[in-house]
Order: sequence, then structure tokens, then C-alpha cells
Amino acid sequence: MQWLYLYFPSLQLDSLLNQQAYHQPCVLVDKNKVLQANPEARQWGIKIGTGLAQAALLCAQLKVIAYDAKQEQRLLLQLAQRLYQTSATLYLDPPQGLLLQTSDMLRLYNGLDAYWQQLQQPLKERGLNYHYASAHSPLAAQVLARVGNDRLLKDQRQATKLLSQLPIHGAGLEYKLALQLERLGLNTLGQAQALPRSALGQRLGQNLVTYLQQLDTHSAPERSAYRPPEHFRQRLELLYEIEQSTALRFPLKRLLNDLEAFLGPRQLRVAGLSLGLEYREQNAERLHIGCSDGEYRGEAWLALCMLRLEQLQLQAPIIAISLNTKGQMPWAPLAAQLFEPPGGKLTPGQLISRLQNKLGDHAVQQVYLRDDHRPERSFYQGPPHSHYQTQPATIALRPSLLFALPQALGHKPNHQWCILSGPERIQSGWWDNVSICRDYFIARNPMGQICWLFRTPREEWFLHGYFS
Amino acid sequence: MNIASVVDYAELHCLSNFSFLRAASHPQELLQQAHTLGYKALALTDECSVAGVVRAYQYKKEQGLNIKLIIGSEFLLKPDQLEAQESIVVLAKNRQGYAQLCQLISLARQRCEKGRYQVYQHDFKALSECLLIWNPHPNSISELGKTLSTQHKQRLWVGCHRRLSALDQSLNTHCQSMADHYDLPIVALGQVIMHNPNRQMLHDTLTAIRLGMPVYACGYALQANREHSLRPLDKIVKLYPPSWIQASVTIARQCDFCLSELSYQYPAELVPSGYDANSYLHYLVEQGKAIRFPAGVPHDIALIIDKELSLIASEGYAHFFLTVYDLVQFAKSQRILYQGRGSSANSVVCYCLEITAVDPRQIQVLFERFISKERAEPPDIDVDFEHQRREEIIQYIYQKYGRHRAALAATVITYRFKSAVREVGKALGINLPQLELFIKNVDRKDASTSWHEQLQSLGLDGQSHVGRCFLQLVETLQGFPRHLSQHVGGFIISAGPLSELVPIENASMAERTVIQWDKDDLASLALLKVDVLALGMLSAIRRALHMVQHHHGRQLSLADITRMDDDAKVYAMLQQGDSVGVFQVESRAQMSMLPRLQPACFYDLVIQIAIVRPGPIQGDMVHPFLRRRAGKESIDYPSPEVRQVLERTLGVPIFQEQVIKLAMVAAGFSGGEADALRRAMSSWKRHGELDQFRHKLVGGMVTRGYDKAFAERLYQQILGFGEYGFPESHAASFAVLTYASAWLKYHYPAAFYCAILNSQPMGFYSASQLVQDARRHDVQVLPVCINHSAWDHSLETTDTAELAIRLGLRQVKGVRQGPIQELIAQRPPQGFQGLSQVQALHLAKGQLESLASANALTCFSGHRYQARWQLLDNHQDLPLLREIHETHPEQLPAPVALNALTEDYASLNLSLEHHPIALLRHAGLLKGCISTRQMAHKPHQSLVTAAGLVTGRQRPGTASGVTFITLEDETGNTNLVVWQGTARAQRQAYLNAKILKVKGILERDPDSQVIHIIAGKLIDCSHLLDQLNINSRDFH
Repeated sequence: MQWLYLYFPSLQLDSLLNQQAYHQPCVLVDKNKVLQANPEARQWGIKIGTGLAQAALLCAQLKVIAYDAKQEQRLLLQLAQRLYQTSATLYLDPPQGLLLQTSDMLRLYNGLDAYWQQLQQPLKERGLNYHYASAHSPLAAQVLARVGNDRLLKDQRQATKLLSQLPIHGAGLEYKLALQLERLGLNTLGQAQALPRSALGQRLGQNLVTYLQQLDTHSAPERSAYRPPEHFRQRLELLYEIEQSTALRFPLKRLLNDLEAFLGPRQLRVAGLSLGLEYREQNAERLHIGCSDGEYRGEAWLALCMLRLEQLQLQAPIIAISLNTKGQMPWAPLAAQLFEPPGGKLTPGQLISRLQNKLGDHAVQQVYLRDDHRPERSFYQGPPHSHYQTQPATIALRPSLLFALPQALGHKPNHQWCILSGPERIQSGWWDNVSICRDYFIARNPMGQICWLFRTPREEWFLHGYFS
Repeated sequence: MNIASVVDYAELHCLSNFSFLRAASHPQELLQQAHTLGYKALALTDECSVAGVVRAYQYKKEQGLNIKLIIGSEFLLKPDQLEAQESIVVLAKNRQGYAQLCQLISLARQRCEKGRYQVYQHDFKALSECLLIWNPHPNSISELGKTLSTQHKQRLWVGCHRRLSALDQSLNTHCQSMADHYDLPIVALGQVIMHNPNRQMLHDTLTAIRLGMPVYACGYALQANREHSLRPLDKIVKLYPPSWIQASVTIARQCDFCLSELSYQYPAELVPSGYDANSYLHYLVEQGKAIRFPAGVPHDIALIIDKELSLIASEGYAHFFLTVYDLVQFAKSQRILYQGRGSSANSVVCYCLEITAVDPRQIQVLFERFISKERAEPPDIDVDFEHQRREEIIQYIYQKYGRHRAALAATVITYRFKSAVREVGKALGINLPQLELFIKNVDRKDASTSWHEQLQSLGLDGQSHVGRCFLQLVETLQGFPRHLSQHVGGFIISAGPLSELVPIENASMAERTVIQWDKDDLASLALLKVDVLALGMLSAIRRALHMVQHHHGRQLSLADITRMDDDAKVYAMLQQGDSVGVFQVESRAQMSMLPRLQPACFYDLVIQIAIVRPGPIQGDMVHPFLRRRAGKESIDYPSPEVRQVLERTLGVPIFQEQVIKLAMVAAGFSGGEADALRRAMSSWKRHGELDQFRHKLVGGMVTRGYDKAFAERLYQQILGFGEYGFPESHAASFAVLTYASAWLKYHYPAAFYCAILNSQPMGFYSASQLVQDARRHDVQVLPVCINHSAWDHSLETTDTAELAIRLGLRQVKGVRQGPIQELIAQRPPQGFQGLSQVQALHLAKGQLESLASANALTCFSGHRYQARWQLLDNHQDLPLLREIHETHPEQLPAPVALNALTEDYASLNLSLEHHPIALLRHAGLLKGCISTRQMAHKPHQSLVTAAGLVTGRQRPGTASGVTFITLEDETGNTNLVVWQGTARAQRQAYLNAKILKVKGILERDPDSQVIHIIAGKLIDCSHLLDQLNINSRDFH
């Protein structure tokens, strides 16, 4: 078997820089050590492993970004997804490596070089730095790629020879083990390989022997190979053209039944669907339908889809529809209430989804509380969430009706007003540069309403709300 | 409003920044503001602490403020939860009440780990001489009111505050009902946490730091407004009923304690019956005279002794001297080497009491420095002990006086630039890598660009709102206390329980307790402390003296060495700059100064120690002194008084004492003012307090007829001196150790180097550098060997009957003393015969491998790789298999020179066989480079190329922008001078190189013949040997 290993020494940094075309010295840092550096930073003498302090001395204009292991993991996964189009068997080797089994692909691509051409394309598109090597065993390919061999070795003897010349610290061994070998004067991998394995094992442990064996093990690694995510994706060509959106109900129902059949056994639900409507002559249109609790039942999805379709004016006759899923999640039964009234089967989440589908996503908002002394900032609106914020974190009496903009009273409250309490002085908010300084009063106005008033340091009076 | 002038008010609940992260003002600021606003009194009531009171007291005294300072403390029953709970404020009514308060704090603090406390209701019972204010809270209903009102019926008030919050009304109602229920009067409080409303921003930031989240996320944990500040009286009048306000004044009037009442009694047990302190001191001095002056006391010295004794008696310091005497007697009995220093330490009395070994005949000139009455300065004696045995002294103190009578002074750890940037940055939500970059990039030594500007050039937008807040907050937060830590060795010892004087709390170190005041606080109150310090050189000298006795049969003490006449050969050695390992004069800067100063007597050493310091260097005192000493510049004194002060240092002020004395004789400073100047000098970098003296100093001198230019120059010199000025009294004591170590180095080099090596880590040089220096002094150094080495380095007589140093196994990396001592104990007299014999001891496996790599097992296995290979075989542990295996081990190739060198450095940090530069030279990789030795023959201004290991990079604050790099090759060390421009242009080589090649110009000082190279081209050659594991000591 033949293996190809791809090594991405600066995966996260490359991806970041590729998006923004940044050409200043820039490094990724973890625990005050440089992990990844772009060529501009290297020109300043910054290396991998340089301490942040030293790096800062070397280059004062350095841009420093925190390393994010999860992000790199995601990037590797995306890359695998992309390369899966060209390569059938591949393995993730986080955080920065991919292992590809090439022997099966050679026939398809007419040899290693052509196959390699295909592979490089997506890497170049993404602006990634990479090293690679092909060899007879996964480990050999990995070790050679990591030292930057960058060759497609077709001959095992060639690879074996290169490996034996590797310095012991560059051979991918655990640092402590490499150190032990070095302190026996075994400075290259070849010198270690030359000793009897039993003698090595006796002294340095089984890990070393396993490692040496694996260098020559042609077979696939024990972990399972990469599998593309299993998303539902179906297209249905219509038998006849449809001009009325409501008439889509039946074909759609078929697709949704298939969806249910797909999700059910996998114990999955999805939070959204992307419904593709393909016109005869125009470009296809995609509708997004969401259900924030997640749903797997075709019936339920059909109801949501139809709500959306009822509002839709078709631009042209439709010839096909397709369905993709978004936001797959494991199925868990909703907390059903034992004595649920028969009519009220909507969970808050379902209600929100239904409203959103009827009125549009942005039309439905929820009010959230926020800890802030400033009344205007003590709440905010955001996309709805199905669970409630239980603890109303008020510290003092606040009016039930608060004006978005305080209304100028134009005068000082006269004798017809009755101050009930106050002042409550609120002077806060320097950090976001929206400081306020007000003395609040609760007062009854001549009409008998209980008002929330405030006075500014300039003795201006405002009405800010009413108590119920 | 005129009401302000009518009403009297005292603020009785006020926290300073010594309630860490809870309040946003210094005690001094609070007191000043309360005074400005016309308050009658201010009670400083930090949370379970009186750590800030001395600062306020001192400030009041200095500024002559007419406001009463009340000492008190706030207690929370649940200290972890700050908000919404009741609290108790305890105020000291009199001295006894203050003692009760201190004891309560001590009790509460010692129940918990460092920085925390716990009080219970019944703890307050003992406070019979205190006044209590109970602050009830509607959210916490407890038995506290009941308990307190029964215990303290006439001493208890309900405290109520108005901060204009929405909850004022309910609090008010609650307080009123509590007062009615328990029949208690109500007093108005401000619950102050900042002196000025403008500190709200800082207070919010402190809250964010305390909660560990950004300010914007702190929400209701922040104060809603700025009403927790000291408020003007007209506002107070509007907020509180008159009776509440009146109550505050009534309480304040009853509190009559002032810190000036504190004085403490020295332990009485030091004086035997039949004597009082003075007569006993007299007696001891008489005895000491016989030891120190066997040939009789010279007349002039006898006169000084009498003068000193009468001064000690009149100032009441006899107990202090007896306390120190007792400590050093203990040290002497335990054979722990020590040396006293400080203004009083150089008295003849201290010499007779064997506190110091500074022979008064050598430095008569010092005696005017002894405690001076006019200066009201407490006597100061620090005692240095061997660093590895100081703990014995500390345990002796605890044992003798008990933990309730002896404790360490505190050190107040404050926010410095870095911590302020980090904490403020986090509070403002600036990301961490960015902050680290700020911190690491800002050069605080760069006087030309302020840190504000530097931060902005690093990408901080100083114009943005956040940027402006950041700069301002970092500025204000610096100098704020963060926590109390223990002082390195300042002990306070008292006759009675210490906790009646000052609260005691737990330190982070187990079994250590610290008081709540630091050394400045103690000095302000004239409380004496004894500094028990650790000094590595004393360990080294003691070891050397021991070896001299053992191998040469000569018994010597420190005083014996100083009593001998100045040894010209020792000084000749120092004049060459040959001073590696010699105390205080071994640094690069000192070493290059020695040939210029040419010290030839003891007092020259005193000057040498004090002059190579940032103070004199920045004050531009070095060059005038050198010129005058060389006779190239005339010396003139503007007056006889000035002449008397400066004559011994050729008209140039070098010591701190001279500056103080000058202020007195030339500018007319009083004793008290001079002492204030001394304190300001020691801390002006931090507080900028020196400005206030300028006018007085310059003006005073001009009035007395001195030239204005002379006066200004003196002021500038004082500024340059700053906190780095070195007192003569310390320099003199240090010079004893300098001379003793130089004397040992010259006369007994093997013992000297061996002792220094055994006392590592200490001093400037690594073991490798010390060994190289020893070999250059013809001391033979023998390698580590399992059959010859002890744990320590030792002296061994060679075949040629010379003393050689045998490296000890302690030098081997990765070995532990226990197992190795065990191995040595089991070693047969004729040594181990084979590896299997050693293995049979079943030492921890790693230990033997480390020995193998250090080449300590070569006597069995030929070379280290083979020894290690044999050791690693785990079948060797089975006795039956051992024989079989040992007959046919695989043969590993022996290390080549480079590998042996790498192994040496990896396992010993030094190599006796090879030097990396020698290897490179031998391999032809350093063509054109000359060695350090060859440089001696090169003319001044010649172009040279050299290469060496970078063993040090030093960028002193005194040399603007210059970096000194020390290059080591197989023949010695070379100093490289790298100008800022050169360093910038070749930044990579300058910063990264472990092996550096340099092309530059050789410069030789015509007088001293000192050589250095002005660097031109720097080339990083580390790759030539990059597996060499040598870490240079960067920028220490």
C-alpha cells in the first residue's frame, strides 16, 4: 500500500490570513510561545517556539493572535471534507495532519503525479502552507512529511534510507524517548534501528519497538477513516410543472416522508430545511424553514413549510424541488406534560417557529434583561429563545412602561405633582462612553398617574415611564 | 451655602485601598480630602485591618492637618459576600481600646489562611474600650443587634447611610426600627470608598478585577452612582437629620487614641538580675574590649566608646543593642557566620559586641555617622547571616520569644506597571495576547519616550474612549496596594503580646506570621526592628575558612582577617580586575572599574562598592572622582563645612550620608527635615516626593552664600542618587566581606573556589565560569567520579602534593542528595569495583543514569554511552540474568568531542575537557577570529574579529541604550559594547545568538588597560553548535 501524508504547520494562521490578505508580521501564540508565524514574521527572526517577549523584542509591530485548538480542528475537518472529493480513503491526524491512502486512487488518476496535481488544487486555493511525503507506511509518510521531505517517494528503499538519516529529535518520537536515545549517543534513527530490537525494548520500553515496527507497517492505521457527514439531501423531479405554490404540498410531503425515514432510525432531528425550487428557465430559489427545537416528523415539517409556501408567489412554473437539512442534532423527546390540554400542543419553541415562518425571522423578538444600572440598557431585544429567563434581576422599583426616549417635561414638577419617592441617583456607564447622570423620582401627576421622572444636573426634567 | 460652616461632622466609616479591591483611594488622599471639606474627624476603618493607618498618621503629621484621625476597622460576619449584609465598625476609644481592636483583628485573621478572616458575634464581647457602630441591613436579619446591644449598651450606635439609591428608604426604615427596638441612637455614616467622586471609574475597575470579569459585565455589582465618596458638608446636612450628624461628632469626641502613644518595651529577659539594660550593656562592652583590643584600647577609641554608650543610654536604645547581641551570640554558638551593617552597626560598641568585624581603626572616619541625636533617626542594624542557615536564626527568635511576641514586618505588594496594565486591560476587555505584547514591549528604562507614548506606538488607540480610560486607569492604579507579604527578614520583637501593638496575620508561608505594617510604618512610629537577612557570601566564606583550617591547619575568623594589616598583594590582584567570586566587586561594571580606581586600602574598597551603583553613575560622580584621584583635576571646597563632609571622597558626594549631611550644613536643614529628605530619596522614583525639597535646598544654599550653580548641581546629584544611593555604613560592612573574600581568593584559591561552588546559587557567575576562572588561577579541577567525589565539591591532595578541587556529585543534574549520600555511605574504602556492585544498592534508576551521563561511571564502563546502556537494561535487576547479560552487552560507539561536550553541558552545566569555541576553532569554523588572550597584544583602535559564547547580556539603566555583551571563549571573557543603533540594525543576531561572532574595534583604556570591543558587525553563529544547551543570563 502507498500512503501520502499532508502536514499543515500553520493551518489556523494561513486560513486567517487568506481571508484578509494580511502582509504584516503576524503570529499565533499559545501560553506565551509562538506556535505559528507568517513569512513576514519569520523575516524578523521569529521562529516557532520563540517566547512572546523575545518575539516582541525582535519585532515591535507584531500582530499577535491567540491560538484556538478547536478552530484548527474545524479547519482540518473542512479540509478533509474537500479532499474527500478527490480521495476516497483518508484519515484525520489532528491537529495538523491528513493521511491519504493513495494506492486505490492511482488507477483512477493514472498515477501518483496526476493524482497529486488534483490534490494540490484545493490546498492552493486556501493559501495553505503544507509539507508532504508519500511512503510505504502511514508512519513513514507522516514522519517524512513533518520534516518537510516534500517528495513523492515511490520506492520503499528510498524512504527507508531517508528515514535512517533523520536526526533522532526529528523522527516524531516522544520527546523524552528521543532524549534518552540521544543520551546513548544514538543521534540518528538509523543508529537506533541498527541495534537489536529486543535490546532496545528491554531498555527503552515497548513504545520504541512499536514505533520502529510501525515505520514498516504498510497497513491502514487502526482508527477509522474519515466519513463525510451524513446529511439528508434529495432532489425530486416533478412529473408535471406546478404553478401554484400550495400544489407543492404532495411532492413535498413525499420528500418529507423520506426525510423522516432518514432521520428516524438515526435518532436525529434537524433545526432547519433548505427547500430548493427549480424553475424551468430561471435560476433556482431556496427557501429556509426553521424549527428551533429541532424536528424529525414529516408531518410537522410539512405544516411549517406550507405556512411559508402559502405566502409565496411563484415566479414561474417549477420543475423540481430539492431538500437539504441544516442543524442536525440528536433526537430527544420534548418534556411532555402529563396533563396537557388537548388543544395546546404547541411548545414555546414551536410557537416561535410558527410565528417566524408566518411573519419572517426578524419580526419575532424577545426581550432579555441585562445587569446595568442605566434604565435604557437594562434590557435588550434579541432573536427569540425557547427557554425563559427566569430571574428578573431588578434591584429597585421600575415602571412597567418605559419610553424608548425620555420625554422632556419642559418644566419642574409644580405643586400639583406629588413626589412619592426619590431621588435615586444613577450615575454610571463610563466604560462604553454612554454615561448618564440622573436623579430619578416616582411622582403622581395632576392626572393621578404614577410617573417615573428624572432630573439632569442641568435641572432639566424628563418623563421616562409610567407605573401601572 | 453657609450651613457648611455651622455643622460639625465626622466620617466614621471609611475604607481605603488597604481594603484590597474594595476602595479606590489612598489613606492619605482620604485624610486630605476630609480635611479640605472641613470634617472634624475621619475614622479609617479598613476591613479587618489597620494596615493603612500609619500612612494617614504620618501624612497628617507631615502636613500639620487639623483633623482628628480615628483608628478603627470594619468587620463582616460573612466576608466572602460583600453586598447586602450587615457590618460592624469598631473604633478605638483609647490605647486599651486600640489593643483590643488589634487583638480582635489578629484573632479573626489567624483563624484563616493569608488574606482572609472570620469573626463571630461573641468575638466582640471583649471590646470594652471601643465604640461600636452596627450597620443593619434589611436583607440580613440576625441576632447581632441583640448580642451587641446587651454587650455594649452605652457604646453602641446604629449606623445609617444614604447613598441616593432606590433602597435608601427601606434601609432608613429598617435602621429606625432597629434603633427603636434596641433603644439605640443612630449615627450618620458615609460608607466611604473613595475620596473623590472622580474615582468611580477606578472603583468600577477594581470591582471588575475583584470579580474577574470585564467592567461591562459587572452590572449591578458596580456602584450605581458616586455617592460613596467624601461629600461636602452642605450635602451631608441635607441628607441626614441633625441628631444623626451630631452623633458622629459625639462619637469622634470620645475617641482619643493617637498612634503617637504607641511605644513598646523590649524583652526584659535579656538583662540578668542585678543589672539594668545600660549597666549590662556596659559590662558586655567591657568584656568585648578585651577580645577586640587584646593590647589595650587606644585612647581615642576609648573616648568614642564612652560617647557612644552615653548616647545609647540617653536615647534608651540599650535594649535594642542587647537584642541584636543575643542573636549574634546564638549564631556564634552555632558557628553560623554573620556580619552586621547599618548606621549603628559601625559603632565601636557593635565592634566590641562582635556584631560586626569592621575594625574601627581602619575607618575612623565613619564615626560621625553613628546615631545622631539631632536627626531623631532610630538606630539601624541589619545582620546578614549565611543564606543556607538563616532559618535557624529565625526559629531561634520564634522559640525564644514565642509567636505572640515576635513577628515579621509586612511588605506591601503594590500594583506595578505590568500588573496594572494586565489587570486594567482585562477589566476593559482588551484581549490577553495584546496585553502581553504591551507589557513585554514597553521599555520602562526608556526615559525619552513615556510609557503612554510607547503603548500608543504598539497599537493602543490613545484617542479612543477605551484607550483614554486605559491610560488613565493604569496611571492611577500603580502604587495601589494589592496584598501584604512578608518582609525578607525584618523582625519586630516585644516584651508583651505583640498583638496589642499591631495586628498579626498569617503569611502564605506555613508557620510564618506577619504584622500589618511594613518597615516604613515601623520607622514612622519609631518602632525598632531587627533585620535578619540572608547572604550567600557568608556561607561561602564560612566554608572556605573551614577548609583552610582543615587543610592548612590555620584557624581564622572574619575579624582575624580584617585585623591584619592591608595586604598589598591582595589589592594588587583586585587592581588587575581579577575579582571573579569576590563579594560586591565581581560584576562586569565593578570589574572594569577596579583597574581605574586602583583600590589600595580598606576605605578604597568602601568607595569602590558605593561608587559603581546607578546612583553615583547617574549623578555623574564617577568621572570627577576618577579625575581627582588621578590628580588630573583640582579639588576645591566652597566652605570649610562642605570640606569636612566631602573631603574623604575628594569633594564628590558618593554616599547617601554625605548628601544628608550637606543638606544640613550647607542648606540649613533641621534634623527632622534631613530625615524626611532621606526617606524621600529612598522612594522618590515611585512618589516623586523630592520636588518639595528643591526650593529649600537650593534656596537655603544660596542664602548661605553658596554659588547657585553649585546648589543646582548638588540637587541634580541628589536626584540622580535617588533610591540607588548607597549608605557608607552599609558599604563599610560589605567591604569587610569584600576584603575577606579577596584575601581568601589570593591566599587560598582552591578553598575559595571550592567554597563558592558549594554555595551556589549565588553571585554573578555560573559554576562553569567559576571553574574556568579557577583553572586560570592554576587550581586543578578534577572530574566527578563515583569513587572519588563526595556530594559537595571537596579538596583533594594530588600526587604532586597540591590541593585540587574534586567536583562533587551535587553538580550532576537530576540527582538528589538523599540517594547520593546513601550511595557514598555504602562506598567501600577502596571504591566500587564494578557497575553491578553499584546496581546492587538498588538506587532509584534515574540517579545512576544521570551519573553515567555525567561521566561519573567511566571507571567501570569506558564511556558514558556504554554505562548508560548497561544501566538501562531492566533485566539487570534480576540477579540470575545479570551475569549472562553483562558478558555480551552491545558495544555502543564512544562519543566524539562534540557529543562529549554536549553531554557535559547537559548533565553538569560545565565541561572540563572541551570548550565549544575551542572545538569550533579547531574545526576551522572560526577562521580569522582571535582569542581573548590574543587581544591583550592588539593595539588600541585595531580592527578585530572574535567569537564566543554569549554568557550575559546586560542593559543597565545607567548607560542609555548601550548593551554590554559578555563573550566567553576558551581563554577568557571579552566585553562587547553594543550601541543602540548597532543593536537595532542587527536585532536578530543581537537578541538570538548563543554563539556570536563580532567584528569591531578594540579599545583600550590608557590608564587602566581595560579592553573592550565596540561592536560593528554581529553574526549569529549558534547554528554551528546549536544543540549545545547553554543558556545565557539574559538581561538580568
